[in-house]
Amino acid sequence: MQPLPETQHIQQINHVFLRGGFGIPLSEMEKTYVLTVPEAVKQLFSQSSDYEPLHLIRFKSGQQRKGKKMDREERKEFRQDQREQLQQLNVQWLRQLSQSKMQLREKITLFWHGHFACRVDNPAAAQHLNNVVRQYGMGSFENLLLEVSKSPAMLIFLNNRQNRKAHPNENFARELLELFTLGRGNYSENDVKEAARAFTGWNFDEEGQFELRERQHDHGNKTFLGKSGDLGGEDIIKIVLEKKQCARFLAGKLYAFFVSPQADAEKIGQIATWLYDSGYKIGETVSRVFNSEWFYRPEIMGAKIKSPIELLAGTFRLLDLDTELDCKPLLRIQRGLGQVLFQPPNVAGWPGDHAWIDSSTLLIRLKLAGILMGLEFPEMRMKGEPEDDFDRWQKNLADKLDLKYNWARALKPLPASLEAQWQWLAPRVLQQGSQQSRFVLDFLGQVTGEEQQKRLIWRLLSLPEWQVC
Amino acid sequence: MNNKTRRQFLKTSAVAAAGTFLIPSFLKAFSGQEMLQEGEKILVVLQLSGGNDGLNTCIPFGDDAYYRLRPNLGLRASEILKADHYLGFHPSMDGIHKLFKDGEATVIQNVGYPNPDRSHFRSMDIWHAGSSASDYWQTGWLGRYLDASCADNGSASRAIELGGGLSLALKGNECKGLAMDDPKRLYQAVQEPFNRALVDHHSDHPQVSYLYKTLAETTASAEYIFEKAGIVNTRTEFPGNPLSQSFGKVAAMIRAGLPTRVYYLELPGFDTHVNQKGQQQRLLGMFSEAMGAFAAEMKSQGRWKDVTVMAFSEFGRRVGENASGGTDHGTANVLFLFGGALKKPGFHGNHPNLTDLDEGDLKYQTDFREIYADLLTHWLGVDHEPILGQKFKCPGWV
Repeated sequence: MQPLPETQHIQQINHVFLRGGFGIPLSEMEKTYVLTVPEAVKQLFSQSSDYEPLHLIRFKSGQQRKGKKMDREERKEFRQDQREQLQQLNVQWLRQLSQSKMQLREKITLFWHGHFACRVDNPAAAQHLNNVVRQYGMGSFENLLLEVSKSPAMLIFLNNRQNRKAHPNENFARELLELFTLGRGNYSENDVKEAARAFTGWNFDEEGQFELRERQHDHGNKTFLGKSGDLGGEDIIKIVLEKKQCARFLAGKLYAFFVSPQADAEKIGQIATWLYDSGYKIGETVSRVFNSEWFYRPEIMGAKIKSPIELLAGTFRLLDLDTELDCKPLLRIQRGLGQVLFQPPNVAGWPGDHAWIDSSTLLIRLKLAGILMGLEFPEMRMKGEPEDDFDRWQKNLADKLDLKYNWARALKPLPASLEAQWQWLAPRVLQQGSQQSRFVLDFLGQVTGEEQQKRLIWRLLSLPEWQVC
Repeated sequence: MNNKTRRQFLKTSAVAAAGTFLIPSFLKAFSGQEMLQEGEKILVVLQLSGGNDGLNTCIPFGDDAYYRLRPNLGLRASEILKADHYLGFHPSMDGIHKLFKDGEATVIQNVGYPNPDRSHFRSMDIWHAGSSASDYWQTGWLGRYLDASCADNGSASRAIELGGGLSLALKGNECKGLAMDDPKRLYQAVQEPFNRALVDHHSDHPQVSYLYKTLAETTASAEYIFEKAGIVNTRTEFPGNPLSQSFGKVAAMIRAGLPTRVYYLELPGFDTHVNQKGQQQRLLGMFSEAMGAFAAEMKSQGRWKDVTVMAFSEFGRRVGENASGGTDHGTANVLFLFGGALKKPGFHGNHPNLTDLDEGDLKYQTDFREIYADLLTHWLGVDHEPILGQKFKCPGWV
């Protein structure tokens, strides 16, 4: 095979790590570009064979019971505590997204975080579900779905704890079919009712362990998608997965997340077949996508608008973030950009693509690198920010953020002259339009040396081209 | 805008800088013919976030059950601003009481939707999307109005949200409203030299080009709005609280003749689980004061007949008070329309039935989407069916 022209090769290797992770740190670029594309894909997968859970919070025994006995002050404190733990969980994961060696696993975890979108106040439950999708997210979808369905977070969020034989609650059964597996129009209202009966009594105990409460479970005959019997929740999941529509539905979502927001029926059909024929092996299916020739077509590379989390984690990763993260300012930024980890807008997850962009989020996005590098302030109030004094607010956010990077590592590969630095950086940092970015050299101000290099990076990351991957 | 100022505007603005690919929509949106003329209708939506306690806003003092269920939070009949022998307004709602007496307020009771959700996020999501409780739509009702009415026509300035970001309500598939805190601040942000340099660039790549185009549109809109209405220029003095100030900015933009049909504002803080009394009094006072000032200004501009304000909250609160001097999340609620051309001012809907409850909450009587349908059809002049996904009966309030 003819060696590829260098910039095209760089773009393809970037593509592997941008879609399968959060990009390549500046400090690791040279050794990564030595790889061929198949080698890069192989490395991406082999580095994610293991998994590293978030382990901030422990399920406290007796917490539920205690909650009912608390007085007003205690309850207030308890809620405050929970909120803070969720914030810590948020930034701990954000840090892991940007720094973990297991990039693909974290990326797939983020995919499932949006697919099984769940919003609960209980930090232990939120962490548990996150670890479940991390652990099972690259294996068989059947195991994943079963574990998710049994997780306290999902049981709480979709009211399955209230799903009892005498009064079935259909919330979980409906979303299972509509949003997690088949999509609308592929089941009847009666299927929802029957599935709900099958999940009656699914609950968890005080330790957060799943339990089937026999007395609340409906053991009667049910008919679901044409199959009858004393069906339980596990049976419903099995029957759903037998439908090829389930594979098609998942393939559509995988395509939008890993390949392109522009649906391509033929490719999605191909992915559905891989998924179905493999017995719903997720990692294996994603691997076939990454090894496909069409995954590297020019119209696919750069076709995605980065999600706010991809932007944040990608910036931290690029620059070798080297600091503890303070929760509050980072949560405010996530809110301003329209994506807060553990707080999806609803059970359908984040819509993505153009929905990330409006006049206000775009202006914040273009300033984001400067804000994260401590070189700029946000110029407009962000969504959900209190209406206090603007100048104070602006300064307060920047002060609290106070991020540090390992500049010695990040800047080390840069060549000597400014022109050469731009030529080196632009194609490595920007997946699109790097040649047109030369004008940023006029916006570096009167600085030299390391300061100049930082500003060059800042300006490149302030271009709309940095917003896509 | 006369021809000369328009030419000047185009020469100096981002529209010119961004190159020809943008000009058709902007020429149209910003040309003299597209300025809103007297008689063209404007909708202002005010979101009372957190779940306003409707029963202590529009109070059924004639119902003994109210005092029985609200032994501490119940407001004495003597302090209530009475509307009739049975209902009255919270004592802090002087301005709104006056609008009501003048036939410039429609108060609709028991507004809600089937299978109500008591989560702030989800219920607000439903109100923004204009969907049923079982649907998850990723666009908002006013965003889809923009899609339907001005797809190729500089949508951003057609709907403006005053606040820190753009709400789902104003996001359509193709078109989105413009969010800003303040016209001047937005203007300063887009005038920053690096941003100006970006506006001179564009890209052949579809996604990147979309970003450049959005940036150029934002920049052009920001310049235009600031030029026309950057300094609040109203005849009425607006009170100093943030909500009134925002209404003052809206009034200035209306006066400047911006082509904006929809304004969106928010007053947060209504989640009164604890010590509701003082908090709600303060917020309703702001709401009422702002409405009074805005109505007065619109009258002096001669535009009150062209404006409808809709004030809503994602849900009402539980009928019975809790043990912390507050109320918990409930369901059906009172919704307000204000304006100088309301067809049926006064109260609508039955008095809330405080004894026939659904798990401690009021049962809804009017689906909020009927009000949306009414506003879309009879006020904004578009077919509501494609926007709301089904046909609703229009009560004919506007």
